[in-house]
Amino acid sequence: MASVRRHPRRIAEDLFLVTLAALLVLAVVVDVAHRVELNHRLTVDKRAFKQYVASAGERDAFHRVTAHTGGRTDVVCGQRGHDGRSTAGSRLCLEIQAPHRPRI
Amino acid sequence: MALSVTGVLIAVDGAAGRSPFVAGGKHLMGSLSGPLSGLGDPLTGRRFVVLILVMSGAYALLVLCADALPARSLLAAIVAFHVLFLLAPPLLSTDVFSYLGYARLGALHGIDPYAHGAASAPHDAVYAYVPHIWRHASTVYGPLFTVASYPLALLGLAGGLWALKLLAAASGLGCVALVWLCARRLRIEPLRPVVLVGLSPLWVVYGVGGAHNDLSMLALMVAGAWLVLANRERWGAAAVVGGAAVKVTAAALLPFILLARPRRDLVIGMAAAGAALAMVALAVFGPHALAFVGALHKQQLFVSSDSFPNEVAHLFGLPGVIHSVRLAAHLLLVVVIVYLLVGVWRGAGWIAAAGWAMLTLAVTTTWLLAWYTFWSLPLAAISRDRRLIVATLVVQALFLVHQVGPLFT
Repeated sequence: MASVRRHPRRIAEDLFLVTLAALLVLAVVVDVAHRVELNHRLTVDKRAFKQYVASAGERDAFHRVTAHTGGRTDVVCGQRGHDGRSTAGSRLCLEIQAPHRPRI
Repeated sequence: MALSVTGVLIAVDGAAGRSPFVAGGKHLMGSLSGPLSGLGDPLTGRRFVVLILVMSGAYALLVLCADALPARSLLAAIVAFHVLFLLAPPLLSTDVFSYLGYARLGALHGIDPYAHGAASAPHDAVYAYVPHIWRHASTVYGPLFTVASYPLALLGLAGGLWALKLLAAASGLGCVALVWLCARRLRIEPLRPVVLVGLSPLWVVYGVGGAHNDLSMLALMVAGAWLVLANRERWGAAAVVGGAAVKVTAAALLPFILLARPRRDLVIGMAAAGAALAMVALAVFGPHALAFVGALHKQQLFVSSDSFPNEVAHLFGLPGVIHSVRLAAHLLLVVVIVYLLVGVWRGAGWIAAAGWAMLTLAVTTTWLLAWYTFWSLPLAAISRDRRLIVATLVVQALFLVHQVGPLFT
């Protein structure tokens, strides 16, 4: 019986897709774990949230906190940043956003 | 059964009162909250996580077993879900109020929504419902949608809201019907494709529930695909151009059709529709008619926490979407689209290729929202490419896990 051989291009496509899928799954799992941890910390002590911002530094916190809170800081701060204004405003928007608020 | 129960609970609980998942929050009262108001319990974070995940699991089972279930029951469920989320309050997005804001700016205040945001009419009734982050933003939607939304401004705030919800539900159902027609023309058993689209939690909860114009864009795009499959290339191309005039994403289908079908008729259809829309846009909006392209470009510079480039950047220890990450995402998008175009030029199926292109667009954008993840769904459903269907569902599942997972904590 003749075996069915897969086209090399198809094999390459499958390899690409599986690699990309693995990367995305890993990225999502790690990111969710970070967000869960951060949410937990913020629930325990809201001041830790502000300390986190302070210790991480304004610019780093702008990126990291907005990515992890699941809040709307990314939208607010991102827009400010891309509007050409200083991201110094991000401190303010981090403080006014509730960490658990889903982004809608 | 599980799908029905969870769907009803999300819709009813969303209407129960103040919830972070309902646009408008405490301001959403009276006729704005809809006929389901007061029937359920408030939709809390944990409750929503459980409901949407159970709903997604039930949907996956239904897709797998679609051929073994009665067609009438499944079709009735699709219609019922669209009606249910039509009646629910605006869920998981405030975009519908932005649509209304732009319509009211133009129709009631004589202000061009391509040049100004809701902040230009702060005394308007819709102003309080538009999030402050969008109040200064001009519209990113195409001229067809913007012009069509103007008459809705005359219906009042509640009338306009429910008209937009009706448009979303009708577009969603229309798209499902067109998926059925496309599948039959392609000699694919149509039941599974329509279940795949019409019972998708993201489609009904986020799409219909949030009244997103992505559904109108997709309905026109799939109508274009159906017309092309029926050898009516001129009308098909015109329909796709119409979809792009709702939201520019639909234009992604055009190069794939152009490479696969008789070009002359397609170009005539595109040119005629483009010229007609341009004339209307110029007549209504004047020199600002194409300003949405610039606004769209600006919006694509934003970063949403749920975007995959953002997550991958964190995985590699980066602070977020820095320049190199954005560049890598753009490069991946370009390489994949060129690869797909070459494939279609060599004879590969244009429907699946366009579906892959739309899915890649969603995966590589730094501004990913829930309703972007179903852009590729109708095309995947009518393609014979099982990998595209699986990839689309995996991307949707990853998005849901990332967005709602942390809310459970």
